[in-house]
Amino acid sequence: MILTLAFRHLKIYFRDKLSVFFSLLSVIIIIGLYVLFLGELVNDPSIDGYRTMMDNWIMSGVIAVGGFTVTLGAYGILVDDKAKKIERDFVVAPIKPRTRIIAYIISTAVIGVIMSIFTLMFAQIYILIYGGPFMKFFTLIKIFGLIVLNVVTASSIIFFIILFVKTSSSYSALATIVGTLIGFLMGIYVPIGQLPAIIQTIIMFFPFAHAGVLFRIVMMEDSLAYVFNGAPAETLQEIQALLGIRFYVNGQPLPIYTHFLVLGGTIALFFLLSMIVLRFKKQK
Amino acid sequence: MENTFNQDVYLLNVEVMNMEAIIEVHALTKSYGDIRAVKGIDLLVKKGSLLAFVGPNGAGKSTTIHMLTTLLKPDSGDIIIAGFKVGPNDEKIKHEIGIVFQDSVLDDLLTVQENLMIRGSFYGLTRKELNIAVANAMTVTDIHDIAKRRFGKLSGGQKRRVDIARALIHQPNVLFLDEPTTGLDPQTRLKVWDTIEKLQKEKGMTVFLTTHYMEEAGKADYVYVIDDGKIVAMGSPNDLKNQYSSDTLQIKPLHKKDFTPLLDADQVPYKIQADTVIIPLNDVWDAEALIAKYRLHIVSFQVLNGTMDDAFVAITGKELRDL
Repeated sequence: MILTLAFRHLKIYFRDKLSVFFSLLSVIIIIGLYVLFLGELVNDPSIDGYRTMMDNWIMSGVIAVGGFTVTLGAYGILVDDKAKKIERDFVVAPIKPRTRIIAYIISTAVIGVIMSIFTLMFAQIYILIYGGPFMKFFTLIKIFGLIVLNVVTASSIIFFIILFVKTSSSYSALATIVGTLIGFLMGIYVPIGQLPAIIQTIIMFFPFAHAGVLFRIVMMEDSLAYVFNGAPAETLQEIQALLGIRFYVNGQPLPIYTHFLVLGGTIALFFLLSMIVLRFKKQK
Repeated sequence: MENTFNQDVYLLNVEVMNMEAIIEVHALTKSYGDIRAVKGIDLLVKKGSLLAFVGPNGAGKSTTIHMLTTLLKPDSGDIIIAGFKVGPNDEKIKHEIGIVFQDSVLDDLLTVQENLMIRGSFYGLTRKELNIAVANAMTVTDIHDIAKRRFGKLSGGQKRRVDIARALIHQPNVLFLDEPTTGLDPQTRLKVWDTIEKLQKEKGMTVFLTTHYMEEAGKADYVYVIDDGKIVAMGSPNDLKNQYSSDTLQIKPLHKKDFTPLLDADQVPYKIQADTVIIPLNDVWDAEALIAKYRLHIVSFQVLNGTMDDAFVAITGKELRDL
């Protein structure tokens, strides 16, 4: 029953071509901007491998952002079901509320992962076009793991927010705001290191920024090592801080496991909050 | 709480002691904040009957039907459907009831068949049982020819029949329809109505429907009229017509100006509608004497039976056109 319901959500999402396009819109815009001029702007042709490194930087951000916006787009099914009162037909049928909720979470996560993989393919093509290499198999496996983690994090946060959204118009307002802000919060439009110190600190409190960091660490590993081969540790540290490959607190990089902790904690926290809200709503 | 005891319901209760009631509602209430939408309703529905639930907008029809179908929790009162109590036995009741909502609840982007297969899967049938159940529902509603079309591309009447098919998949004993014919053209309305009657007569299904059209309520076995959150009248369509409407003599006079003073002088009650003078009759034979008396002033006349429309207006004091 859960799977039939989840499958219904998937079918509806993918049949609505326009909404698929719109949930990919922020990804398309970012890639478009880089193809048009930003790519040239951030490049330094005098350094061998710099272009590939920056392309990886951009694309890791794109995949991180895409996972979030696509998952948000997929939750449009839930909002529509509520707004169009289709939900009633599920309520009058003998399906447990828990089953209904899990079906939405599964389907949005599946949609998020499928579309992120598409984005990854785009990214690989983009990198190839500008002279970069194919990603290593093991890197791809790691990216896939991060995609799942990123989507689940996004799903837990969005599910909680969606609990308070009742109309399609408030949902699209939310999608617009998130789509606009997320690029900044993930440090894609402007490298994190170029933002004022206070903003940098604030960004660290946004869980998805940590997903961005993990994507960069994995995707830029090789190109970073190539470009900065033999360079002093300080130079490397500087570029890592600038591009948001690592977060620095008091001059020390946050250990990688902290990013996983932040994401895991976020999932647990929002799951718990959603449970509380649902219980509270049920009592009314 | 308001005293909801109702003499008519009591008598009805006695009357139906022997019959098998499939829906029993007692002292049902529901408020939204300060607004008391349903103020103590009692209902009894005989198994296999067609019940029409009529009332003006905002009378509490939808609220009541939502409580009966487990969508809304009542503030107080009892609902028993097919022997199960709404509330503690919701799961069981959900297998017993099918609902056609006022606004369609199926997915525009999916085909008719996909819609039915998905919604049918909620009822714990095996794959084989589900295939058969969906095929049966499509046969009853005559929608096999549109099975592969997207629901969103169908006409209003086709959609309605698919909605009904959706409500039938799990072979419920009671079918609820909330305004099933509203917004359909007259011809389609008749076709939908045929399907509903077929379900009741041939499948022995109990049908509980709300409607705006009094002529449809006239085809029901029993009618409940709800107004302002209370049941204000009930009975078979004939009972209601006899009790709340009268036959009328409709006269087209030669000169209205000359004619009406005569009626006034004779203390005959009348109403004027355009160029017609309408005289209510206590007995249809009274028409004979009236026609004989005023024959020189009459261009043409007709004697009409009271209608459900008249009854409704008499009961609620509201014109149907306002609905």
